Amino acid sequence: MAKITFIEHDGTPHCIEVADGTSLMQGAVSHNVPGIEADCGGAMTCGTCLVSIPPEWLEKAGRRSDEEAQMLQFLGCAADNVRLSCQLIASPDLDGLCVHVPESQG
Amino acid sequence: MSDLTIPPELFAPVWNPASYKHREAVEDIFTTLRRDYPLAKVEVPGYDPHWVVTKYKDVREVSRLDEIFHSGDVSKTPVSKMAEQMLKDYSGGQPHIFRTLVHMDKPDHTEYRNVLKDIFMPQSIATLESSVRETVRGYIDRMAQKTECDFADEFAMLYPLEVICNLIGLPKEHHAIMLRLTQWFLSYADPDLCRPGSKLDDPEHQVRTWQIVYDEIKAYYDPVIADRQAHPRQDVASLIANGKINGKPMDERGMISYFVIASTAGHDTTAATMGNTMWILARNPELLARMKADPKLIPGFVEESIRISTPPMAFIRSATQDYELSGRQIRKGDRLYVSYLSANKDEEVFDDPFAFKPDRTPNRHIGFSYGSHICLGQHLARLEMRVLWEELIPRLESLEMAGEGKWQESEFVCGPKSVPIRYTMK
Ligand code: HEM
Ligand code: FES
Repeated sequence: MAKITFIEHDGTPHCIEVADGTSLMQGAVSHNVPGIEADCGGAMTCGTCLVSIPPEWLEKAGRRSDEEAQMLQFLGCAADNVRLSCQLIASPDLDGLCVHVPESQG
Repeated sequence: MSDLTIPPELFAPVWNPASYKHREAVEDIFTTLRRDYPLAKVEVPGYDPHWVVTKYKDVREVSRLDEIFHSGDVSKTPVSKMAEQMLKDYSGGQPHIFRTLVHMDKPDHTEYRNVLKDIFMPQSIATLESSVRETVRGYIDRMAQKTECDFADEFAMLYPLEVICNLIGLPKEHHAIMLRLTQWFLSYADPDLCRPGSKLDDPEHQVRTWQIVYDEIKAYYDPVIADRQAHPRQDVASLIANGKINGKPMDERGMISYFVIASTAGHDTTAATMGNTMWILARNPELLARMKADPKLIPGFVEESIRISTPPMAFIRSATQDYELSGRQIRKGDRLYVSYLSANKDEEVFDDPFAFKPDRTPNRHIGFSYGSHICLGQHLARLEMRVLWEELIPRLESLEMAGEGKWQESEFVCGPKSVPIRYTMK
C-alpha cells in the first residue's frame, strides 16, 4: 500500500491509497482524481495519464521503458520527471509520493 | 424519481435499423431516457432483458471495468435470442460469427492487440502524414474538377478505405471488393448497402448472411495470408499473418476476424464521420467561414465531428459479477447496452450538446470508447480527418447541399450514405 497525493494544476490535493502492484493511474481513476483521464486504461497508447514527480523520487519510481520514453517524447514531454502514471506501480517505496497533474490535463 | 424499467415501446426503435433514417428521432429517445430512465432495464419482446446505459459517467465506468463487464460473452450488438442461438451454432459455441478484438477479453485481448499495437502508436502514425496528405489531395483534385458530387459516396467512403487498404497492404484494384465486403458485414440491414439477396425482415437470414460474408472474406484473405507468411513485407497484413498469440500462430477465426476488424473498423467509421461533417458544413455557412478564417480550430473541429457523429453507437457488455452502478444493482450475467451515442450528448457533461462547437473545451467525448478497448485506430482516424479538412477547407469557396442527404439504416455503425453537395473550389 502506498499513500499517494495527486495535486491538480489548480493546487487541489487528492490523497489516496494505492494497492501494491497496481498502477498510480488505476488508483487515481478509481478515486476519480480529476485530470487523470487514462483513456486507454493503461495500454500506453493515449498519453492522458501524465504526472510529474519531484526529482528526489525519480530513482524510487524506477526507469522509464523505451516505449514509455517514446510516447513521452511524442507528447513533447522530454523532462525527466514527467511520467505516464499507468506505468508507475505502487509499492511501499512510493509511500508518501506527491505528484502533479499537468495543466494540459486540467 | 427515475424509473427502473423502460417501456419497451419507447425503446424499441433504438434496435430497429430502419429508425436510423431519421437519426434525430433516435437521439430524442435518448434525451428522454437520460432524463427519465438514466440507468434502467428494458425488455424488448424476443430479446433478453438489457440495462440501457445512457449517462456519460456510467458509460465510462462500464467501459473501464473490462474485467467486470465482459465484451466477449454475449453478442456485441442486439440480436434476438433465436439469432444468438444461431450464431452459436455457426461459430461453434460463440455468440458471434467474427471473433475480433472487440469480442475479446483479457488475457486474449491483450495478446491479440499487441500484434498491431506498435504500428498504431501515435508516434508511428505520425510518420504517415505526408502519404495520407498526398492521398487526400488526389481526392480533392478530382472533386475540384466538378461542381457537384455525392460526398458520402464519392469521397468519404473511398478515401479512408484507400488509406487503410494501403496500410494493410492490399493492391488498389482490390479496394472495391473490400468496400463491398465491409458494407455487407456492417450495413447488413440497409436496403441499398446490404448483400444482394439478404432478407431484411428475417433476422435468422441475417445470421446466415454473416456466415456467407465470413466465408467470402476468408476466401479473399486466404491467398494474402499465404503470401505474407511466405514473404513477409512491411505491412499490416504481414503482421497479422505472422502474428503470435502466446507464442503460437493465431487460429483461423482469430486471424480472419483480425483482418475484418482492421479493414472494416478502419474505414466505415471514419467515412461516416467525414460524411456527416460535410453535411453539417454544407448547412452552416457561418461554420465554414469561421473555419476558413481560423485553421487552428481544425483539431477541435475534428474532435467535435467525432462527438456529434458517434458512428459506432453502442456495444453490449455483460456482467461477470454483481456490481452497483449509480445506485442500481447489476447482477452477474446481466446484459448492458452501452450507448456512446447517448453519452456523447449527455447534457451534464456537454453544454448545449447538439450544437457543433469546434472550440468546445474540454471535449472529452467517448466516440472512440474508453479503457482497454479504446479504438486502436484513433490516431490514424484523427490524422485522416485533420489532413482532409486542412487541405479541403481553404479551397472551398462556396458550399451548399444539392439535394436531401440520407442516413444509412443501421443500428450499429451509422453515418450518411448520401450527402449531395454543390460547391466552387480554388
Ligand atoms: C472516426 C473514426 C473512428 C471511430 C469513431 C472509431 C470508434 C471505435 C470505437 C467506439 C471502438 C470501441 C470498441 C469497443 O469498445 O469495444 C473502436 C475499436 C476499434 N477501432 Fe475504431 N474508430 C474509428 C476509426 C478507426 C480506424 C481508422 C481504425 C484503423 C484500423 C480503427 C480500428 C479499430 C480497432 C482495431 C478496434 C478494436 C479495438 C479493441 O477492441 O481493442 N478504428 N473504434
Ligand atoms: S492510461 Fe493511456 S497512456 Fe497511461
